[in-house]
Amino acid sequence: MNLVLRYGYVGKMLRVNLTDWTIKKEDTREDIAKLLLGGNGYAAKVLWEELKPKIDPLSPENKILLMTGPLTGTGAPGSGFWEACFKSPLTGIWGESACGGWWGPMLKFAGFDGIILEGASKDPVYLWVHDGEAEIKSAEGIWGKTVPETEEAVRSEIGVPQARVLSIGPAGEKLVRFAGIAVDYERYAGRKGGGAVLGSKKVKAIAVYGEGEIEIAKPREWEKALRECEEAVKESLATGGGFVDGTIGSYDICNEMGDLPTKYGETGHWDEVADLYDKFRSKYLIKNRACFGCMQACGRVSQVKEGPFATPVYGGPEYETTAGFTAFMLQKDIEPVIKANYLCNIYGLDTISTSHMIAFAMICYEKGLITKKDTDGLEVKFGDPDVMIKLIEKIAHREGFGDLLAEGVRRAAERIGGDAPKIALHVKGLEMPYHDPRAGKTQAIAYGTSNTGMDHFHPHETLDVECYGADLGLIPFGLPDPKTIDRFSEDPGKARIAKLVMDYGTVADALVVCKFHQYVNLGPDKYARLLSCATGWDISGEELLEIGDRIFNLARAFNVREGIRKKDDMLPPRIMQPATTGSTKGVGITNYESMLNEFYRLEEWDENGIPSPGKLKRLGLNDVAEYVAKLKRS
Amino acid sequence: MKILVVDQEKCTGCRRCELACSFRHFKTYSLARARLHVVRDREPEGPEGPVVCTQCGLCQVACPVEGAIIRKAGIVLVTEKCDLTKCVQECIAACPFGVIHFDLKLNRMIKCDLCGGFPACVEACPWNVIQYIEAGTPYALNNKRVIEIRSKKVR
Repeated sequence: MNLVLRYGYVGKMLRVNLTDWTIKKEDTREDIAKLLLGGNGYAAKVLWEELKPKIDPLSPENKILLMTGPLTGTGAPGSGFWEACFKSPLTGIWGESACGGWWGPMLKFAGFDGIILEGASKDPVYLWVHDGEAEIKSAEGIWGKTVPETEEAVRSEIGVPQARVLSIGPAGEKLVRFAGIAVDYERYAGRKGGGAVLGSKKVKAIAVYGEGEIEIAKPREWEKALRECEEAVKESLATGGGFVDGTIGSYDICNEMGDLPTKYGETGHWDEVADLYDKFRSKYLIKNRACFGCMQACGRVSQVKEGPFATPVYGGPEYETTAGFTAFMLQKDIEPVIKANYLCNIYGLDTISTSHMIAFAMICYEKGLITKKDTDGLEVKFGDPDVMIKLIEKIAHREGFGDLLAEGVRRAAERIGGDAPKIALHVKGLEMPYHDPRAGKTQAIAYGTSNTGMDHFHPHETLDVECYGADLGLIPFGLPDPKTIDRFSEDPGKARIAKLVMDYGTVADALVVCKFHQYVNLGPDKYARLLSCATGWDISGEELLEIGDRIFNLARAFNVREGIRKKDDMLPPRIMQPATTGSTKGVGITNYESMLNEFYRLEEWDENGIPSPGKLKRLGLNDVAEYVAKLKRS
Repeated sequence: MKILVVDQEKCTGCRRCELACSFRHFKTYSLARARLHVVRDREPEGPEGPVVCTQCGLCQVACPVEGAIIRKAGIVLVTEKCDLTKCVQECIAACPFGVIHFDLKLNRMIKCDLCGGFPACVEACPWNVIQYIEAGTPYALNNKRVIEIRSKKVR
């Protein structure tokens, strides 16, 4: 028995080889856990060791890890997360996607810290994981079904109504490159194409149920630390912190701050949607719903009762989805958004990339790069909700024009040709989400250097600090008071802010807790204390941030091995141009490279963006350091 | 006498009450060892809410083992005399809420003991869904809605 990882962790990993249908239980590796915790850190090390470089992400050689962390499933605020890590079919590099719901904690109660899926099955299967055991079952009758249908079918087949189900929709089966992974009907590890990876392995669903328990090393101290954390969260929520209005509640303020990318990134503000959130709240919102262990409940259960965009009651749109299906494609009503979100949810599509691709089609159509001939006769004009709905269907099933859009913006733009690659908004192949780097310049650095591509959530949404005044509890660790930061400044000093926030964001994905709880007074010291009490280790806030640094550099090294260099850290030209309306009118990004160079200096990366062997060694990543040293000599 | 009452409308389904319950009693986190349960009517859209013990005492009435379930100051408690070799778990069948169940590690039934007057679930709920108030106040009627859900139990 693995004695050391008894606390916080449950100590077992499940390794499933789908090629020959073998299931192996192995100990959660203590050497990795101590260095990199769980979640993205643990997965980064496993994938670094086990994946051959330059493999096709949709081939059986790719592996996907579904991970929890040492705080998942405990009483720590926001402990309901899980994390999918894999080589992304969209970007061809490191891919990670975090998600809430109830599935992650249930996996731990079922006796596993994580699942490693490798190989690929010939026939569709689903996995049934319960009480320390796992079975592979045929999914012949379920293949092709939507996400809610799949969940119901799996639950009734295994006969355990309390089981939590992870699944992919038709989009994942059809290998849409930005297909997501759904859990509990409405929660998504949406981005970077995890659904396509599962689809390529023919894994339709993973049901988990368990009655196990998670032990805490120092219960008495834990109780005290937890109470302090809960008090801190309540105090923050009472004074307007956090996301009690859901992320969609910040729609209007994002619009005001010029942080709402409009007309495919032309500007960051749109007058037409100034009161969109009020409309949503007064007419369509039904209730708030939390993930497991959450104190904020940002989920917005909603419904359109009647009309062409009618939907059932379901976990409705959040900020990103709403921004993508409105301002980004100049569509001004909320009803089509709720419908579009519903369709993406049942087909298993990432709402960010899907709305991005539709807006991309619209701008290409406007500029004459594609015509009716290419779009199956559709008039793909900006702001048309009916076209939007039709395109979602086409993308999900890879029909006609949708087949092109399902490839993601980088591949689609190359295939369309002409000016399209210059217009396309992506970094490293990942489509831009809906925060405008012109509204807060640290975001430009984060978009450029994130290991997953143009990503607002991994490692972190840095502009929240300078734009909206969130301090994430980082002031004792060297963050300047957010109120004193000039958000438009492109001083190289912004790199330090970005690095600090990004390291802390990485930590959340390794503890596998919800990042939104960092906004409510839970700084690194608080999480460090919770982690120390849970595992019995002794970890300080600084050490926690160092772990973040370590994971970030490890994932960077993974990308360097795949061929990523400085040229890939550049931003798309369209988002650097001055915005034309709103509070960011006239603001462009002009000094990006000097901020980037400063970021490289802080990370100790060389002029090509390769991490230094010395630093990697110092961080305890000796094998990675050796590889990088060898690479630099050649 | 004070009892637990539930305002189901406000429940977000975070299950912090269950976590707090298992931790208070066992110093570990486990949904299976919690003494109350959050249920959801229909997946995914149905209303949800915690189902709590009302200390009604039907389990006590049903129990054939002398002194295994007792009532002390209004709180119905399972004692160490609980012995599954002497019964067919009548208490489970008798409970209208499904909040008494067998615990493998303790080797006896467990049920809500109101944490000796300071219920952990009440302290843990961020939205005051569960409250600990005098029985008979009008607010206590809210528990009825949860009973309706319970009849179609999907957790």
